[in-house]
Amino acid sequence: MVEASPGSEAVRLEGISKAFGSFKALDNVSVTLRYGEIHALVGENGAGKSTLMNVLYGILQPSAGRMLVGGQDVGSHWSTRDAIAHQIGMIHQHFSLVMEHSVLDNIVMPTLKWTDLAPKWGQYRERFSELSAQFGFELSPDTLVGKLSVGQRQQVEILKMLYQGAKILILDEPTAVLTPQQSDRLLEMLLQFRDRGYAVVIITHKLEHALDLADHITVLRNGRQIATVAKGEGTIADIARMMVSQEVNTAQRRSRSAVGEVVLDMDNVSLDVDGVALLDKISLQVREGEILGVAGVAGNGQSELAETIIGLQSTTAGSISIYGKELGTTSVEARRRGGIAIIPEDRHAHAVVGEMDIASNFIMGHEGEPQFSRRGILNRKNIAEFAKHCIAEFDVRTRSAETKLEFLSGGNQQKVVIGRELSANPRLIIAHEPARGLDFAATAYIRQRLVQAAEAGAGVLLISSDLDELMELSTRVVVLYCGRAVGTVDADAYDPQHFGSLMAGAEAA
Amino acid sequence: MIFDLEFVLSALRIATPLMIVALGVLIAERAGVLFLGAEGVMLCGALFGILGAVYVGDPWMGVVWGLSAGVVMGLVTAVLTVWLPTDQVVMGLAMNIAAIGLTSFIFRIAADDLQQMSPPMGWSAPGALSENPIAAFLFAVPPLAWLAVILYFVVWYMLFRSAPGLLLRSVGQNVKAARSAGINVVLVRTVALALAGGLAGLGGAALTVGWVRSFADDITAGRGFIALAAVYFGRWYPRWTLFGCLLFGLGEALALRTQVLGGNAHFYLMIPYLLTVGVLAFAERGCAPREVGKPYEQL
Ligand SMILES: Nc1ncnc2c1ncn2[C@@H]1O[C@H](COP(=O)(O)OP(=O)(O)OP(=O)(O)O)[C@@H](O)[C@H]1O
Ligand SMILES: [Mg+2]
Repeated sequence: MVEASPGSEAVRLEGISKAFGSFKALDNVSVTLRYGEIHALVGENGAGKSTLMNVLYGILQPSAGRMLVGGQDVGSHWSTRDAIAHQIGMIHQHFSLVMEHSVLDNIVMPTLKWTDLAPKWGQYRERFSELSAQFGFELSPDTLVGKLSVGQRQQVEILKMLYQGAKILILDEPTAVLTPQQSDRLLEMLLQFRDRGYAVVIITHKLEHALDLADHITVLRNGRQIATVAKGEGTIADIARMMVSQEVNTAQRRSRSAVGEVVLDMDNVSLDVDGVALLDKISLQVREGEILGVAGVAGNGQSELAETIIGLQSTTAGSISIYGKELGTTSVEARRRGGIAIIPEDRHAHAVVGEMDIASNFIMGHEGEPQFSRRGILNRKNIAEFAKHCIAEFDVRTRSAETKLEFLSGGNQQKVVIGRELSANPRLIIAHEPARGLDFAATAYIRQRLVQAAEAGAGVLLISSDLDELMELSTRVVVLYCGRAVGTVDADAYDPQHFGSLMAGAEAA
Repeated sequence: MIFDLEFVLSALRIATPLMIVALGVLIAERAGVLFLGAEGVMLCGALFGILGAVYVGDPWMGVVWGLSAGVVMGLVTAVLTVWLPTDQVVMGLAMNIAAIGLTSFIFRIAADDLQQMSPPMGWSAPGALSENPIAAFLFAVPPLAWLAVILYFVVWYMLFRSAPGLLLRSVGQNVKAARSAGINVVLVRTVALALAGGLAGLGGAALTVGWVRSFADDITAGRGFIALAAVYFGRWYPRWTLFGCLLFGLGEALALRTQVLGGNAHFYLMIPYLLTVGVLAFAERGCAPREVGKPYEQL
């Protein structure tokens, strides 16, 4: 292997194109990665960022163009095995971990040989501890990955790359699932990698991150390379302009309509699991026309709050009412029919079926409505029309409504979820990290839609780790700490210091 | 007395084919392929086992024939469900029905040669040991039962201690993770199905060559499915799978014994199947490897 000196060329992609059928996901893109540099890849949802990196990692074969790794043309038979052998590592946009296997098993798996009948588990374990210590991870090797939090899973992915001995690191939207604190730590770690001479590629929708970190930024739009900008040569506004075809209006406004009746009323709701209070006597109200924010460090009861309202978890005490009617033990289906919509945190676990087409995903849960089916027979024509309408309205970048959902880019999958939930004219919308994976234009659009929904009389519960989002959209923000609502803050009277201490639980007596 | 050594031996004879087939199913499903065709593959192994034993005149050659027929059937399954890929449930059912037709057809052609029983399989204790009851018992245990026990340890070690085992299980749990690790999913599943088919064929041969010593139409009578059930009962772990097979063996041995009590023989033969349903219904629900039943399409 060539010794990687800082500044030397690690990878050169020349004129890469990739077509899926007649659709060109990448069109003549050229990028050079260097050791000791961070390269950011930005672009709208569906611009082709993940596709480009999947080509480099050997998951997809390019239709045209050539790749040079360490100065040598890799030819046309480039597989993931080869990529790993050439010290390339990748963290995918959607984690690729085996939930049922232990941390150690996941990390060593890619380096194992088929002929190795007696692996030296003891050595692997030692190497694992060394690496974790070196980078300050605290993971137990024997925990099942399925039991880890999202932040820890991210660490497993990183360790997996490092364990393989990767020197060229590709991270596809690594911060999308992280809390702001976690993502700051990750970004710091990337700088550390850069200083150690690694070549790093980061795909992100947070332009400020790209500008802060990257030595070069490549902008993709509709599969074409618009520009590659060196550090200090552009501002956020410049890059944003390159990303989108037309100017977007990012001006946010808060719902101005007068608040009406109480839609959601939670009264002393508690949720105990194995003696741990995940929710502890939560009382809150969401009124018509109001966006109520929920803040807190991830893991303080946000997911449980959403799940108890929609009925995925049943409460141990207290009551939840919609328009004064107690929900009790009504099913998820009945609750959804009763006007509750939910954009869950983890779209793959709770919101979409990848193997089904986009149209089916758009009507999922509403398939029994008269416009979609009669006496159990689906009305294909109406469904197709509805899907077409939603695709246009929410700007889902796809060739047709019959495409399987898993072939959409991550952000476009999220748009399908949002489109379905908002189209049902809900009375209460639970939006948990609604902008996860969306580019900034789509984010602005979705925020605007939430505001419109509130103005039209719906109640919105916005659970988010993005404080700017909370302050911009909601009138009041409830702070959760250890399952308790430790305070409510008026967005107009926002004081970062006070808010921070609430989130840290400093004022939780 | 109902429970004596002969009873234990009979239970073992019955359980042996199941154990071997179940190990095959276990491997296939750990690699993420639903092996519903196990019944059909077993049936083919049963017929070719007898053919080999009769034509070559050596029961061990029968075992080899059965195993080879199974490998071929396993590869056919791989072509249909992994390479194409088609629906794993439909293909499994189709294989089972096709196998009944195919074996009955070949059986008719070879009927004249299959009149007599195949040569017996087994070994007798050397003179000095035959007096010792323990040694006599150990030598009375069918050779293929010993093979099944050895295979169990081999499969367990390979799946849960060796590198290829972890790679194979990763393919069964998450193809995305496997692909991202550079594993060739299609190749792994093809090999897994060849192994699984081989074991299912071997199990079929164990039924005919190792026990009944003759062939009849649909002689497996759902045993392939019982093996499948044993894997589910065992939650995709070899140990509990083996236990499930033994339980069924005991049930059927009991049914055979109690037939002497009189009454309708079919009633007693129902017992092991009822037992299987009962055990499955009450067994704690395990989690199948995640990719089982999902066709894998390469991008
Ligand atoms: N396997 C596939 N089959 C068909 N089309 C695909 C496939 N994979 C990706 N595409 C299409 O290629 C385009 C680019 O997708 P890609 O995932 O690269 O986008 P992206 O830039 O990563 O977007 P996001 O920010 O939303 O993740 C999309 O329009 C997507 O629908
Ligand atoms: Mg992407």
